Amino acid sequence: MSDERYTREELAALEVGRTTVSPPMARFIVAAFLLLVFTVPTLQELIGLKGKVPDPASIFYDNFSNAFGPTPSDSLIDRIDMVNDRLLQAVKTTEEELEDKTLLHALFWPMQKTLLLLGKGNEKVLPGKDGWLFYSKDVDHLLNAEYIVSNTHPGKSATNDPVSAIVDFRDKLRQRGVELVVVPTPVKPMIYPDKISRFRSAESLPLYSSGWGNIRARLEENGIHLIDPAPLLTSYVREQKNPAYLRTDTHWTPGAMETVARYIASYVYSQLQMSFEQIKYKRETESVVNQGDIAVMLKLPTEKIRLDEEVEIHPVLTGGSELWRQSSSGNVLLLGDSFSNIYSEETMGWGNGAGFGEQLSFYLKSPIDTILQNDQGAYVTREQLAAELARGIDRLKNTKLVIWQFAARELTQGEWKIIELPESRLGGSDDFYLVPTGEERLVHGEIRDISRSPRPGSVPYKDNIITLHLVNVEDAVSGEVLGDCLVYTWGMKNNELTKIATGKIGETITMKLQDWAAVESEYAALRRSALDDEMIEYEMPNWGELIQWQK
Amino acid sequence: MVFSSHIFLFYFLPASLLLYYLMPGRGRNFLLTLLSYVFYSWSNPLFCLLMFFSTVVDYCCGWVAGVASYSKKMRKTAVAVSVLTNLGLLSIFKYMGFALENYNSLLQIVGLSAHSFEVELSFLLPLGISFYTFQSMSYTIDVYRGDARFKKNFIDFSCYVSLFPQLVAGPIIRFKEVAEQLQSRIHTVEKFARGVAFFSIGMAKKVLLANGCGKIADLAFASSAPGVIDAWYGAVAYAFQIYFDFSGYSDMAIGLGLMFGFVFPKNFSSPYKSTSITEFWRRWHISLSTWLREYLYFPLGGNRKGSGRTAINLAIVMLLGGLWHGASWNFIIWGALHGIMLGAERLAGKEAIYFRLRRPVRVGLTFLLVVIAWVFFRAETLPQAMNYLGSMFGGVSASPNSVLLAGVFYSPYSLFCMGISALVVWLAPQTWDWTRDLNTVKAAAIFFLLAISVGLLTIQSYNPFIYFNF
Repeated sequence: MSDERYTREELAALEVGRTTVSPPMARFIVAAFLLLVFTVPTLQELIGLKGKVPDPASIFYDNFSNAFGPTPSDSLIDRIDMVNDRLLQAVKTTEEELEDKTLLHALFWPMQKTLLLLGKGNEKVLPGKDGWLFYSKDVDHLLNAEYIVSNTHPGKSATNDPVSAIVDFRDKLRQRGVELVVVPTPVKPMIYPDKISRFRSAESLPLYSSGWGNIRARLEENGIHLIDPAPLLTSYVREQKNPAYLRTDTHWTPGAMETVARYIASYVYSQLQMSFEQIKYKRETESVVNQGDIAVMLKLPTEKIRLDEEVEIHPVLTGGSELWRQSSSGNVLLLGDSFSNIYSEETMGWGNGAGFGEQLSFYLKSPIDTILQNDQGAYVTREQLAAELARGIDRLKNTKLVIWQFAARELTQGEWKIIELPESRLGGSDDFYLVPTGEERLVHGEIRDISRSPRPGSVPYKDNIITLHLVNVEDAVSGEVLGDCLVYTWGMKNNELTKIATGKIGETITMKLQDWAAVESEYAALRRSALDDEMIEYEMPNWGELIQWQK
Repeated sequence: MVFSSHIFLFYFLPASLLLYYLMPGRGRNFLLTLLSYVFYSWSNPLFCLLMFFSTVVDYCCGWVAGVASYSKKMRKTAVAVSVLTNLGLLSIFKYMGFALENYNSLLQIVGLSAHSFEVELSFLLPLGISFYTFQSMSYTIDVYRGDARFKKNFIDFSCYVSLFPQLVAGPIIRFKEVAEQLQSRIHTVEKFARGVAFFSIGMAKKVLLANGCGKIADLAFASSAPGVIDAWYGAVAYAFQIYFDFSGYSDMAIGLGLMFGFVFPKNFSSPYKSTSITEFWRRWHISLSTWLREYLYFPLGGNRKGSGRTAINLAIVMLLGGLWHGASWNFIIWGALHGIMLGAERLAGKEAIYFRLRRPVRVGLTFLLVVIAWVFFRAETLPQAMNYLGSMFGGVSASPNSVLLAGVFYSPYSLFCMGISALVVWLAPQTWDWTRDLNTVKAAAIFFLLAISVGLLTIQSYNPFIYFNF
């Protein structure tokens, strides 16, 4: 309908006036719509009050009640800014929690299953052929143009260049007489493009990101010892007729991982001509069944549908049949991410004692030390090494060789910051309390700073540790004043946020603390979110468990 | 807060409807204003201060401009203050960084880098600022021109500026279009029911079609070198995405307006069915083209100064229209391309140069031109746009990795999204026409679409809104 005599507003009013609908039908449409929009939150609240799901009122209250709490700054502008930041955080968390915990998930998961068959995953998951699942970030690594311009892209600083960061790290290690081998581990679509696209044959060569040739050339020009496992894995698939990657997970299979470990061991001895203390290890065979991390990211109800797969792992044992352990006296230090952890870290669900470190040690026939953390392989393990040096723990004392394993997608998506390796102890100030080894202590403290845990299902791991800086800490029993405290604690466990993960600055909590060293071997490989203040990160940490929250 | 979100649909909207219909008539505009500020603060509470500032300035300027007893000079000054304040806000928050960057580049070219500015000052772009400043400014101009009466009631005026259904992405409502509705509006079940129909269709356009096509477009434009077919597929996917994203939002805005008793005018009229670029701009983002026509094209002289000047005026309007979308050379080029095509058609008697061809061919060729221009709109940088166009026309060899695109592009779901989108774009009636008669079958379709949209919203997190960035 268009008529030059009328304005747009008049036309619209006329048009609305011409709506043809019977009164009962109009009433039905309105009633059905109102029923829908009112029933969902009402039911959620009612069921939530029974404690079965989080109730929306509590979600709103918990997130917004603290936004206007005390602010440490005296400046009005700073205080407004701080409150505004808290409100923005509250908005984000509230929306995420309402969406994640909605009852509607139970109603719509069959729809998700159908869409999966039609090739639709979600923001994190790309379904491939024959039940193979891919992590979207891995596919982005191969498609994005960002990589080829990583040095010149206006949004990226020079320190975000992987080559500069790798060369800098190698130089800093060389000053301490340590060699570096870099192992950018291929992501699944590099080896299995044929499981995504029917236009690619299974026999073809691995795919690389478009700027890989340039990066490789620059690394080689700078004399970096680079091991690219991609050709090895392609041959492994072709010759062994075994899968190199798990169908529903981002990571490699035990067999593929062992092939790479064997190759690195032979490279170290034959190409680098290095020699280490020799110990003989043996291996066992175990079977593990689990659902891959990409399958978990689909957020299907696990009680109704599981995408399990089975693998055979080979835990490494000492000559005396004891489980392999990392050794700080080893001449090799492995820095690695979840590709190193997957068959080593029990919480990842694929067994333990059979990870990349174990297999390297087995093929090198030598004890090795490890610093492993899931995700962000571009910097977190270097950062952890630097933090330990700053705390006076010299992980490089006996080291002749550092093997640095990280996922290849870090080359395009990682944070390649330059990290200093302190020459001497920087942290360990007397103001920071450390629970004596072997003891436990119940304390009250006020949260001065807290790191953020990732949202469950948004990252390819299900456990995460967060970091707290507590001030005004005192013994809960004796009242003894203990000062400040750096505490590591669970932020996300088995894809569920812990209560303390939603803790806010200024809140007082009661925690049971123990020395971090007592649990380090168990939890050190898990991804930890660090505080922004680098200097506080250099203090010696405690391990904490939340006992009580004093709102 | 976006309309197609869990929090809006199941918390903000029911709470707003409940409070609105419980509130006696006199307080409803105040309540709507309050709700609109809550809605707006969801993106950043501090942005509310800016909107409030713009509202107060235009209210005062409108008052001065609208009182006949004030001198003409004073009334003119009030309009100037209003225009300068709104354009000033836009310049600071949207264009300053871009202007300084270009100024510095220019100095570098002429060898005077020493005089360049430090471009460290950067602001977050307040959500919807391009929409509400244009809307608010039009009030003072309309009052000055005598097209509208100044609003004494500050609450009513605040309600007009901040009205949440159309606040952040339009349609841009001129004051004279809603002045009477702010005073009194009719609430009927029929109107509400049609609002539900508009809202559901808009939501389906957004969630089912725009998001599905958006995923394809995102991958294509992020790819370093897609093949020819993939590049075209990605560009067409973007054309579909932006249309369904924006027209879906407009439908939802119109639907929400109806639920609260307002009637907003049409913003889209099947633009991809156009047989020329001139026709396209009569059908695309009608509220912006109307605004630009009334407040820029006509003051420039419109078509009253000969065909050559008309073509130039059109080019200027489109160039500034492009810049309105964002501070980047890509938007300027996009606007310029449309300006040139409009100017050429104007010189050819408001017809496309291919006007002798059969209608389906003319529609196809117009769509093709629009798709090519969209590449500048979608690409993040000028080199990326040129690279992408190179891929579309075979000037850039495809990366071996582009085979991965095929896995996503030609999955049954993607093909389904693209197919349905094409059918809706070229064969389906407009929302205004389809919702005119509401019967049982249509009611079933409305709730089916709403349920599917809610389902997809529940299970997927990919939900961008393109026009929020403008």
